[in-house]
Amino acid sequence: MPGVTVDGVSKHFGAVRAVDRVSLDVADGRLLTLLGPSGCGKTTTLRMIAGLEHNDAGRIVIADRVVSDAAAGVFVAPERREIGMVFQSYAIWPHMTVFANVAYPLEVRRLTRTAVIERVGEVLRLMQMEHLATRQATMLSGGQQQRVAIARALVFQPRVLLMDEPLSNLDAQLREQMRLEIRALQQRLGITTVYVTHDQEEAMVLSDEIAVMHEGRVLQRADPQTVYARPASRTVAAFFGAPNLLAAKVREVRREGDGALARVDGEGWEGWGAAPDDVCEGDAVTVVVRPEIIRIATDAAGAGNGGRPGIAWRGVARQRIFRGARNLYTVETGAHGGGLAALRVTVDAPPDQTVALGSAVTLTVDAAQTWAVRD
Amino acid sequence: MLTRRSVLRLAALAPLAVARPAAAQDADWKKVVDAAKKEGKVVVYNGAVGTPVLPKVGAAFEAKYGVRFELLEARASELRERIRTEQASGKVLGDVSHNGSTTTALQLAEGTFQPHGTPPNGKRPVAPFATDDIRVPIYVITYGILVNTDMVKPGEEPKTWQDLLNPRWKGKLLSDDMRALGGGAVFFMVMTQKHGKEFHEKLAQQQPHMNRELRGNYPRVARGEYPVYFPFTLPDSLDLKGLPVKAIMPPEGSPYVRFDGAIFKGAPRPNAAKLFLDFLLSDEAQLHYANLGFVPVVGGLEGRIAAEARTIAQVKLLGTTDPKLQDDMLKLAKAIYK
Amino acid sequence: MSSITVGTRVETARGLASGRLARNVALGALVALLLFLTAYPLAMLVYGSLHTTPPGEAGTFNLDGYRAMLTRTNAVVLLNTIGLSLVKTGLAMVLALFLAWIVARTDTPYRETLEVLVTLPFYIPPILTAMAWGMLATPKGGVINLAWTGLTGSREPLVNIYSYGGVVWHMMQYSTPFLFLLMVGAFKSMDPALEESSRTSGATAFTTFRRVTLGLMLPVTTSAFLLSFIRGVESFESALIFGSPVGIEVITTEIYHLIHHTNRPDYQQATALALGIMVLMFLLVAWQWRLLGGRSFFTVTGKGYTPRVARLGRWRWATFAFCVLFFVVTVVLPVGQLIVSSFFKFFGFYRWSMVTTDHYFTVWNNRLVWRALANTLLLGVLGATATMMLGGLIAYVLVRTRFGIRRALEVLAWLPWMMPGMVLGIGFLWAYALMPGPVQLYGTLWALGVAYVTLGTPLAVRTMAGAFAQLAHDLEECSRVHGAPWWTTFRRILLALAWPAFAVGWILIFFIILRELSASILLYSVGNEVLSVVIMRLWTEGKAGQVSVIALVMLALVFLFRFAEQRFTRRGTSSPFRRSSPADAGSSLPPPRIARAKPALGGPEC
Repeated sequence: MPGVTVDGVSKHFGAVRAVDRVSLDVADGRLLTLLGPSGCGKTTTLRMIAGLEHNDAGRIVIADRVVSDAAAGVFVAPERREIGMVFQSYAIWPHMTVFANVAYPLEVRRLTRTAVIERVGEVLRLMQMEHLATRQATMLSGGQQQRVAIARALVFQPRVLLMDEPLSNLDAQLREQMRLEIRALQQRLGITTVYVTHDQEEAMVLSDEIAVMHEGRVLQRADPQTVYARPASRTVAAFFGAPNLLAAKVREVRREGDGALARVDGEGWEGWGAAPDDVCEGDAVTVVVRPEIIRIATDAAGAGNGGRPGIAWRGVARQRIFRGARNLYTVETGAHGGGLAALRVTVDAPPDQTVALGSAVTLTVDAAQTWAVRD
Repeated sequence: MLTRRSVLRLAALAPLAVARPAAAQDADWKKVVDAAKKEGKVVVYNGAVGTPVLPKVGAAFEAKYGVRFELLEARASELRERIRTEQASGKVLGDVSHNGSTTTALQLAEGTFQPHGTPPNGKRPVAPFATDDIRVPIYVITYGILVNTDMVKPGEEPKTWQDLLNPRWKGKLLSDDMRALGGGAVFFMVMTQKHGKEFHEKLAQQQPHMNRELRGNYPRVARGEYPVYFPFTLPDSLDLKGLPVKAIMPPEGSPYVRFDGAIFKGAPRPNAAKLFLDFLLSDEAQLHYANLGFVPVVGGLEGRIAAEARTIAQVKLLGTTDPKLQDDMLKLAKAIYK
Repeated sequence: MSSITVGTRVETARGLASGRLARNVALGALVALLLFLTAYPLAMLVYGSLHTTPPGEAGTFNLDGYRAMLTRTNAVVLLNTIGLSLVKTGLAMVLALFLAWIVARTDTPYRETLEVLVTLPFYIPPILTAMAWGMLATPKGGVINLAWTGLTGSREPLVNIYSYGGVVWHMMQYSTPFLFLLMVGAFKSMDPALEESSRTSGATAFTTFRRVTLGLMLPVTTSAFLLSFIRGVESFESALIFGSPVGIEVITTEIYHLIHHTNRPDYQQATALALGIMVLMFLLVAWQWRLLGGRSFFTVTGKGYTPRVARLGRWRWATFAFCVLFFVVTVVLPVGQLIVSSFFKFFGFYRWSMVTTDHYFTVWNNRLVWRALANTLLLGVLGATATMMLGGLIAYVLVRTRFGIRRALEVLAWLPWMMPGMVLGIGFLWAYALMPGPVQLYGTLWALGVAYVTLGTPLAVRTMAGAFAQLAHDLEECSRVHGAPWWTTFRRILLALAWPAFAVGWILIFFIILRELSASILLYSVGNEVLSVVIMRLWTEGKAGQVSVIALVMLALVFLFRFAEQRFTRRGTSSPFRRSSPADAGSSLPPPRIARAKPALGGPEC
């Protein structure tokens, strides 16, 4: 099955452990995103799959073929791995035309001239770049270079496609358009893809699965929904948007079906939050509360969970950032007397939940939409 | 040291020597000639870089014997190191050395050569020249004075070497560098031998401008940069037609350098080498030298030398260099001409 | 896409699956080749310096050669040498920077033509310019001085070429175009944003030039300076012709005297002196490595930038005039003299009665000239190509790999640059003639070829390393990933992209080969004559007219090559020459591909 398996792969640069025993597998035709901040080891992992770096330990299998096994001394050169790759810089060869760039992988495989022309034409058509075939590569816009890079990576029908932050050099609008295009293309061709990005939104749009990496390790690997709603750790949670991360202690655990509810006790607040199965009473946890799921209302208007388990905070709206469709509030809660610093909660509220600055507000959230992870 | 007698006097005796028929055509020599033809070519290592004579002599040699003549030229010290290295590695490419007598003498001491077995023409050189077991003398380059005739009125030019010391030439003399090998060093040594270092101490007072452009110097006199230049390579005067210059041959005689021929030890074509040495001393080859203004080493050519070259080819010889003294002389020159 | 079937799949089991063995073998071969080219002749010289007699003769080992080196005179000579070279390199640097700036970064008219013109002095044989300047600037009767005394009535000559100034001036004519050639590319391809951000930060144009432009160019300028300085220390003709007659001696003239002007050439002392200098120069290079080590410069990327061009207004004609003046003084004067002289019977002696075309016919009819020309062209073309390929391979290992051996390679590749040619030539002779084994190099044309490759390698490595350092790693990796083996990638991507540098280096080396005498005269054999040897023969015999003819032929070749090169490079990688990029609607300039000049050890990147 032409998937990719990365098994216990490590890479050191001097004393720095860039990738630390990473294991992943990508099933045939699926798109896995390596997501993480810069320096997390995601690009290095991708480059090891490509054969551009030697892994110090572990095994890499592409399409049932061991391409690298540090212990066995196996290392297949990049050009023999039959992979397509799109680089962050696109790496369009400036001394060639669009056609020559795309034809290159076929030429080095010694295809006949007619076969080359046919295939390049086909893939350029696919990328809607036919009309630019004779153009010098340096005379292309960023978006066009991107398409050429993808065309070149696909032209020889590789078994696996690797993409290294391919959209980071494009402007926002084009980026969003290309995301959808890449996803559509990948699904249409059914090509196994490993995609590297630091943009969680991009990752969620594109991926079948996301592997969140940090300091050379994979922290969590799951489908986008899970990674978003049920982060495995505080670090993973912190990487998606700017959630409220509230320290608390577990006071009580109620197990239900496929999860657990925990009664958590924070600084000046308490309530019920969703939690992993294995959470125990007395655990120190971080409750992840995403700003966009918090409801905000003035005390007068009254707010509640409608009887559902959840958490409520009382506080004062201190700051509002207008963001068009939504407003971003900073609410100061807790710190009822005592020496404790005020707890700030960020709320991303829809327009129907407008409150005046300085007014006393109540914040509520359903337990199911929160997530308590152990520290 | 060679005896220094006048060539003019010798010239009178020379016909006797040449008048004899070439009697050395015995069977042994015929073998050498045949073997040489079989060897097919001769490679000459020439230290007189660019000399126009050797190609002519070579062509005549080829025409006469059908043995190809090949010429490799480099400066004396370079040639010396090349052949030394060739011999050390056993890959000798050269057959015949055609080089200045100083270098040849030094190489002789180092064992660079093999005896030539005295070819038939080997006995022909006349005193002060003589063949020994290893070397044959070939020709001589002589030195004189060159003056610019526009700048120096007839009659006022320096006529003798001593005239160079006349205060009127102070700052107006152009000279080959006497602190470096070449014409300058030859002049320095010969004059030191003849007149002592006092001569040079006085000459140094004249503040001659010294340089190493060698062949670039006589055009400078012609252009009028300096009125007087020494030591002027006398054969060059054949090239000066039309220029406002005049070569002067001091009656005292000319300092000169001799060129010698010898066969390299390990020469790949020893017979061709012998044949070529022999040919160098033939009338035909010697005339080629004499016609270009060099002094030949055999007698009996007088009438046959081209008219324009006749005087120069028969100039009186003053003296030449002594290899043993060379280094000391260069040091002395450096001390005197600062 | 799914309809496309993969026709040929590269069989991975074929050959060396890991590639490591192949790589190590290739690397080993490269090291071995370089050892043979540079270390072997140098080892012979080391032997010569420690042995009382040259290789192949009985003698004993001692340190006399080095002991003799440590004298007061030599100390003075050394200071002289360093001082002369520093002054000439410094002055030439200023001039070259100014010229490079004019050509690359201003709107001076006709600057593409000027770019060719200001490099021409480099290609004129030094002996000829020496001859020309001897006539122009000799205190008595030099043309310049005659004009001066005639115009001003002064009795004192204005200039005297036989002086420190004269030596410096003559050397500068070669250093300036050399430095210019090495630096102009970097000037052209610098990211204009880096300068613009300085200007917007409030710095003046001059401050920007000084602090930003020169700062960014530091690696290029310092290595160019060093190359030129070392060449200055090793150079020879200027000092011999204009210095020695008035007592200005440098190390190389001392070596020359030791070899050519003593009864028994003192090779022990000569080689010791040369090796001493080499060590000194090497320390200098090592120091520069330390200085620049660890700093990475992101400025000069590949193509795609349109350098910011300063609008000079009326001043552009002043800069134009400056370039033209430089060209006139360094090329038109001496070459004009060559042309004129080639039509007169006597060099430098002009009378109507002496006009002649004899020199042309004589040269034309000289079989030796033709044979030497054929040999030289063959060796020049093959040698320059081989040298640039070798230099490219070495540069690749230096710049783009992390092999532990690369420092050793760099040292080996540098060494020939730090050796006076005269002595290195002896090393070649000893090495090739005394080479054991069945392959005979000495006495063949290839002995010259191998020596030329050795002599050209340092320069080839420099030019190619500079070019490779500017190419983003992605461009190369992308090729590998998409199926091109290393060699294909090197050829089709790296060399193709570095083509302008390759062409410049090729021409430089071609002309270094054309001019090379010191090694040629010791290695040529009958039938394998080269042009420099023939020129030397004619020159020594005083045939300046014929030498002029040959020199003019060589100059014609230069013109041909330079313009061909400009055409080729423009066609190959067009963008650096285009002033604006007419990219299609709605697109901005292509995003700059930032070259990642990775720190030597590399590092994690994500």
